[in-house]
Formats: sequence, C-alpha cells, structure tokens
Amino acid sequence: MVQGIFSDFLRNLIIKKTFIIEDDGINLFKNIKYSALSSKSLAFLFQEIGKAASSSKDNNFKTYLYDLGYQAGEDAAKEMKENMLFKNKIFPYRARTLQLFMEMIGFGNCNFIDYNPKEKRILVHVSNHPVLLYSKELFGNDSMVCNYYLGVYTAHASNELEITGARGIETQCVCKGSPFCEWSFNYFKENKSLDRIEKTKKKTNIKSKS
Amino acid sequence: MKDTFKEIISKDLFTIKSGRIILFKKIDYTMYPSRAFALNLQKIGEDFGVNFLFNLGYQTGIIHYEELLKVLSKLNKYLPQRLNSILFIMEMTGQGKLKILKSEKDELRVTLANNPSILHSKKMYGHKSKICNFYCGLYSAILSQQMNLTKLKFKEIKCITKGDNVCEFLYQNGTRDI
Repeated sequence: MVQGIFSDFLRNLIIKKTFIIEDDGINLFKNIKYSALSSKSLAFLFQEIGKAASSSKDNNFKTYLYDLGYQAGEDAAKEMKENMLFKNKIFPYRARTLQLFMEMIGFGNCNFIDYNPKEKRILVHVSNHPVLLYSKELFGNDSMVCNYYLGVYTAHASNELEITGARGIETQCVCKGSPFCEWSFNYFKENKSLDRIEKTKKKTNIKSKS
Repeated sequence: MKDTFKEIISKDLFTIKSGRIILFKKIDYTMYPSRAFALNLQKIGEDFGVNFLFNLGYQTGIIHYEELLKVLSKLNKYLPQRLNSILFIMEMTGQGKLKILKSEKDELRVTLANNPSILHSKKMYGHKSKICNFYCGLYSAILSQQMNLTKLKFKEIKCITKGDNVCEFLYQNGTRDI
C-alpha cells in the first residue's frame, strides 16, 4: 500500500472524482446517496445503542451491534452491486477496491494480513479508524463500538470477497490497547476470539494474585 | 448563499489526511450509505422505541455541534451568520435541508427536506417509518445549542413518510409529545 503525502494526494483526487457533493448531499458515482457525521458523534451513537442493548432482555450488546453493522454492510454491498462497483473484478482487485473504498469513507486503513479465497479465510488489521479511535478516547476499555464495524466488515467480506458464512471475530482491539483491531473471517477459530482471551487473562490474574 | 460560494466550499469540504476524512481540515468525518442508515434507525426504533431514537439523535447532535464549533468559531469573521453555516454544512453532508419558518421566543417552526435517509425510509417502510424521530432529536440539539434554548425539543407535526412534502418540526414552550 502506498503511504505518505503522495498517497493522500492520490486519495484526494480519487475522492473528488468518486464522491460528488451536491445540494442534496454526497453522491457516490452520482447514484448512491451517502451522508456523513463527525466521527466523534458516531462513536457516541454506537456506544449508546450498545448500552441500550446491554440493558435489554437479551443483554447482548455484542451480538446486537454486530448484527446492526452486518445489516448496514449487507445493504451497502447490495447497493454497490446494483451500481456495478465490483463487476468483473477478480479477488485481489476486489480486495484492493474494497480496501480503498473503506478508507475513502472514513472506515480506517484495512490491511489484509492474509487472504485466501480458495479456503475462504481472511485476516485483517484495521487501524486509524476515526470512530474507533474516538471510541477509545471516550470509553476506553468499555467501548462497544468495534462490534458494529466488525459486523459491517463481515458483510463486505461475505458479499464482495465471497467469504460466505463467516462470522467475524475480534482477536485484538484498539480500545484494549492494541495498535489495530484484528478481525478474523474463518482465519482463527471462535475460541481464539478476544472474549476468550480476555477471560483467560482475567482467570490467570486471579490465580496469580491468590 | 450564492451558488458559487457553495461550489467553492463543497469542493474543499473534505480532504484526506493519513487515510482519514477531514472536514475543513479540522474535524474527522465518517461517511455512511444513507439507505443502510435508514435500515439501522428503523430497527433501533422498533427495538427500543421512538423516544430512544429521539434521545439518540439529540445526544448525537450535541456532540456533532461541539465538533462543528471547532471549525466555525475560528472562521466567524469570514462566514455569514453561524447558524446558516451550520445548516449549510448539514445539508452538504446529507443531513437534509433545514429551513426556519418561524423563530420567536416561545415558538420555533422548521421544515426538513431532501434528507436521503428519510426518503429511503419512506420508500422502504412508508407510514410505519420511525426515522424522523432521530432527525427531530438531532436538529433539536443543534438548534438548542445554537439558540441557547436549553429546553428545545421539537415535535413533528408534518412528515414526509406520512405523505407530506416536508417534515415539519415545532417547538412551543419546551414540550414534546409523541
């Protein structure tokens, strides 16, 4: 991936050609309507939704936010498909297009650590995601926001990158102190998820204290 | 506002710096597809109720306004009235066109049109759509901050999803009924 000022220059050119700002808002290729809010307010919005889900009957904010993100990601993928954004592109180019697109809409730098379309697995590191960085700043360890974006990315992995049936899991998290969020789609098994790791850490701490 | 001014501003509204979208080189912004957002807000409204949706919009609006002030307070002398600038940015970023019909001490009447998420919601859910509660909250917060009306909470009296041409929000003495 090209980095630095040159890369920003190129991206600015691309964004001005791809997204056209008109009276009624932001249009992607003149057809798909986009809106935008400050990343900080979006961090707050998703955290509030997570809190509401925590205090509901099911008491599972992770699943709720993940499913909500998946719903949004799946619909976005459908809209892009309707507008031929990924038509005729083979896997590496699709991945590259998706990577650039996610960056352009402010969904962070998505670095593909491993992708294997035959075995249907992907491992990505997402960094510099402004909503997640604000979420870390505002809520620290208690942040719930990553679950939403994990859902969004899972829907795109399933639709554009054909990693069908994968349930994304988080194995490292910016809000827990990692430099990036590590999201696995069939790369690690469920027992490698951050939940499990956190629980194991806690148990180890309790044992070592006693 | 003149169209040429709009054109110049809209060209430089967003820039990318180190892979992040920055509004006027100051505020981190994140884009989202308007239709997907409409789906999300409908689900949230169905699961947690319309009052929750209103409060979610309200709280989001407070933070969003604080962020916008970071830019606008520095540009005060170059810009026309601050409220117009805020409404202009909101419109350009796909939050709809808000027009103030009546502004008095005890009564504020505004219309909201051209909001792409509301229009998608109308198509998908028709009169069962709940999305306007979010925007009613969002604009209540923004106008309450800007106009120093701490109790400002709009109620919706006309709605695009119910067949009206615009959504109309009314504030009278701080009350809000569903």
